[in-house]
Amino acid sequence: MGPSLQYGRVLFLTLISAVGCTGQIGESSSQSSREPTPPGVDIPDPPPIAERRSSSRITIPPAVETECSSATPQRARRLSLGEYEQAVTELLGVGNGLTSGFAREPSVHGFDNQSDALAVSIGNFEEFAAAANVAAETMDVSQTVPCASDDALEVCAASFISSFGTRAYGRPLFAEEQTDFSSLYDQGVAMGGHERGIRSVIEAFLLSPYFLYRTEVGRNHRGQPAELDRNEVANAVAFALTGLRPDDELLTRAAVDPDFGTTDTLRAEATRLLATPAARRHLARFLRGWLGVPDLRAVNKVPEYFPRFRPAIRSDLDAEMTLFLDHVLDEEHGTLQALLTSPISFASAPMLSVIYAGDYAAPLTPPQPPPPGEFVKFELNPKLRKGVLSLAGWLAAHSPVHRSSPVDRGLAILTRFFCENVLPPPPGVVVSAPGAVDGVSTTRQKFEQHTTDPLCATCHRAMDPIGFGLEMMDGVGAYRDTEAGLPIDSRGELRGTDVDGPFQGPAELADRLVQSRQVRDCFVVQAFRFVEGRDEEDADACELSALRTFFAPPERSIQELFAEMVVQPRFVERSIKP
Amino acid sequence: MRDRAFGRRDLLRAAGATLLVPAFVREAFASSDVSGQKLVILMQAVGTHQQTFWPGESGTSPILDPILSDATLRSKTILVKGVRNTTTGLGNEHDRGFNSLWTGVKPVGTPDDCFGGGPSIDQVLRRTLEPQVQFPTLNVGVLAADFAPKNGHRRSFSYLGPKQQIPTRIDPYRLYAMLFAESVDDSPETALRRLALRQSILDRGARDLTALRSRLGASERSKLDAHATALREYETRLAAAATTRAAACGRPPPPVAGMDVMNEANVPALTELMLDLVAMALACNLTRFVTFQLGYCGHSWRYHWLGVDQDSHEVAHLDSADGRNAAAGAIMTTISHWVAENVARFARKLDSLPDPSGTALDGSLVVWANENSNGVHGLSNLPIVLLGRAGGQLTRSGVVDDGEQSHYQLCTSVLNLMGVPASGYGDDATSGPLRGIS
Repeated sequence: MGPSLQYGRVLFLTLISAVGCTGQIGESSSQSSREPTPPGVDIPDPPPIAERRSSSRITIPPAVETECSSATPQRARRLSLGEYEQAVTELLGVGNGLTSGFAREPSVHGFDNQSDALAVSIGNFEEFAAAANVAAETMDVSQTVPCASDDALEVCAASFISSFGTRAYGRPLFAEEQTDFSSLYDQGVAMGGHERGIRSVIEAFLLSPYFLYRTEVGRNHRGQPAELDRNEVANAVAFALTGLRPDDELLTRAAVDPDFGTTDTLRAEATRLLATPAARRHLARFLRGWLGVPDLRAVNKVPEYFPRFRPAIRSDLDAEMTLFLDHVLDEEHGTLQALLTSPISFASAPMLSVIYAGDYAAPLTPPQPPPPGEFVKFELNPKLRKGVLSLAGWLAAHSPVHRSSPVDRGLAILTRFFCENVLPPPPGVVVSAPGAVDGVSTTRQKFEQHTTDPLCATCHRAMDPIGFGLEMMDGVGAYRDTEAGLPIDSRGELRGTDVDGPFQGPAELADRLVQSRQVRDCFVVQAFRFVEGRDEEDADACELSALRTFFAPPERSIQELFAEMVVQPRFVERSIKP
Repeated sequence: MRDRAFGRRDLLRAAGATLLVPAFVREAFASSDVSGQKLVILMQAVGTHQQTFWPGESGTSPILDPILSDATLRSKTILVKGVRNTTTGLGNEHDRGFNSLWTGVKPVGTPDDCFGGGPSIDQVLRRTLEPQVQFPTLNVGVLAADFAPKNGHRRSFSYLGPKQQIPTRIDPYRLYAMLFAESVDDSPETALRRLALRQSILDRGARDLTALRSRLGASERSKLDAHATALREYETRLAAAATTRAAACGRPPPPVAGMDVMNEANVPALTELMLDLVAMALACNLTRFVTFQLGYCGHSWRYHWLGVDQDSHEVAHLDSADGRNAAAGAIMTTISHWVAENVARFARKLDSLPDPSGTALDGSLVVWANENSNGVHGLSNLPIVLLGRAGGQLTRSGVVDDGEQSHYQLCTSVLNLMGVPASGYGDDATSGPLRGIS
């Protein structure tokens, strides 16, 4: 039977030729491990480095370890709504909440910053126009543009245009742009004085494509990839590591350091940027997108099934995730191992009583609840929970409103952690769902029945057993040993992975995942997607292979992985597409 | 809280700068193009119950009774049997039933994230006809969900081009503010100068776009082209407005503030509110082509206000193609009946508003469609309801039953009824229109 065979092959051999109609390869194929390409082999011959240099271009040293080419095309990458808000806040202090009423935008693989999915269309141009106007009309002119005396307003405005423009565009303005904005200022002054002039200039900056997009165009070389210019490099590095435009220090360095663009200079900048709070927030956004928990305040549960789960707990779940990710990144060196197996988490008093208290059966003692509105740092019961997948937020987000879901949880692990490409049921399959929650049988029993159909079983036999292993945690992430009066069966199993075998509960699953090379390799792919803002392609095999090798030692941190991505020579290359 | 009117402060928060557009500009927008048929595509998700949808000899059916028992509506309603969405490719039948129905092409992307593969019909119409109204297309809906879906592609079926999904507007307060906001009371002279300044601001952006575009390859160019089109459209409307002045359109009473648009408990109120705003926007000539999405593609509403209180997606999957599961069928009937009530109310509202063709319903085509034909991912015999007279082009009523017809034919008919000559749509350039509707 055609469809089912194909289905099985995709899932278990992790070999796909062409899944997408776009001709892109599926996730799994680039997952296959290849040896790192030795320098100079299988790579089209680049011209000697010296020939590619000119005084106005970045100096790129000979590639050190790997010499991969970038498959990222020359492009204009629109800021995500989050990046946009942050940028306006940095510039004017009035960005917070500016996009809260914008229509929602698509996310791909959980990431909201994917270049192909972001545009300025008729659907949202008005919203960007309105936001630019709101920001320009509500910012404090005298604070943002301090001018000494009324006599020199014009000079003062010109200097403001220059410095504001540099920060808004992430590069110095061209003379022509400076003139253009000055005449716009004059037009505003004619209508309503200095203040109107400044507000008009700001509105125009915020609506400019050079603010809304970051350009990655560079200069073309015959037969060679394009090279980003210095400012584009500074922007690419800053966005990759902080989600922001380059700060003054980075821009200055791009302007004056003759060596800017070399692996060493970029590594120094990456190290500096990664130590900032902005970088921590940015990495947390990446992790949340990947984990499928972008905003736990949106978790909804039906009170009938979870009477103690009050809506107020939702923001506590979100805060726990923030605190936990910060802890992993700051206190536990940002390793994948810590993310997956950290014994520490944080809880409010309501969370302790509703979700975590059940973990500590006598003789264990549950953590002392913190005062209202505060969080307590506590040790998870290591027999039950370890790491991010054991947190209430992840478990609740991967459950529907009324019960747990072995399918949702298993699917998330397979696709997000193992980069398996699980196809939806083949055409013609009659999909039937498990029966309603009835207090007669357990969720597991319902789902087991549901997957006895051989056609469904092809895929579900890989997904569901992972989810079954988490059945000891209910739909809001609380521990349970019975359901519908029946004992919970939390025996799970990993199949078709490099860490196959039985496990029970989130803690044992975490121990398994942390040993998996496949999971580490997949994590590299996810980080690549986030940083590059696109799906991986065949042409990325060299780069991904090098990154996997780099990230293979367990002590490598997520921060180091991000730094490694931006210091490679290929990071400043763009492929030229017609 | 409940009765608090939507005050100026709320408006400021919601509308932001749109308030600063002078009053006469809005008035002019509201009436700059009073001709032309209007379209509303209302998409329901997760199928219907076939056995109780199509009318029998009585002329009505358990689901459609709210529409068909109203003699006036019934005389302006056509039901088309046999429409089949034949798209193959990525995603499952929810995905393809949702985004391919109105793009007419296969989805693109990955199985996890399969987006529309081309422009949807509302955008095709906008590009072809370039209506001079303030909001040529409006993409709205009620998306309240139990959890923000991981499937971004299921949030909207409107596309500008491949993967270029147009977000669905879900907040009635913002929609109201955008459509009917109060305006600052400028003198005409000040307003003109303000307009000129805004044009300078927009022109700056346009020049930058042109320069940036010239440095990029084709695929990136198309993205910037869309941006440029949006900008020009916005600017043209501003310019047209400065020279055209007309009577203001009636402004509906503002919605009550404070409703959580992501809480399913508010779905009935949100649905009513959003449909009312759409009706007013159409009647005031603020918009021409509207997509309305009742929930995410493949959503899991629980419909507790109907006493269902179960995951409706799961219930739907118990509804076999032959309708043998009576309990599931009854629930699906209840759900679709509720949608029919809303459609009927919306149609009656349109029918009460004046239009050059008679009523706004006479001047419009309302297509009530569904991503699936039944609860088990069916794509054959989709429940297609055509309400309105499309500016007098539709004259018959009742059931059209002329064998299987493709979704390409459905789209071709929609194009034709909007005044666009077309012999096919999407992947089938020669499908022809639906048989039997006119």
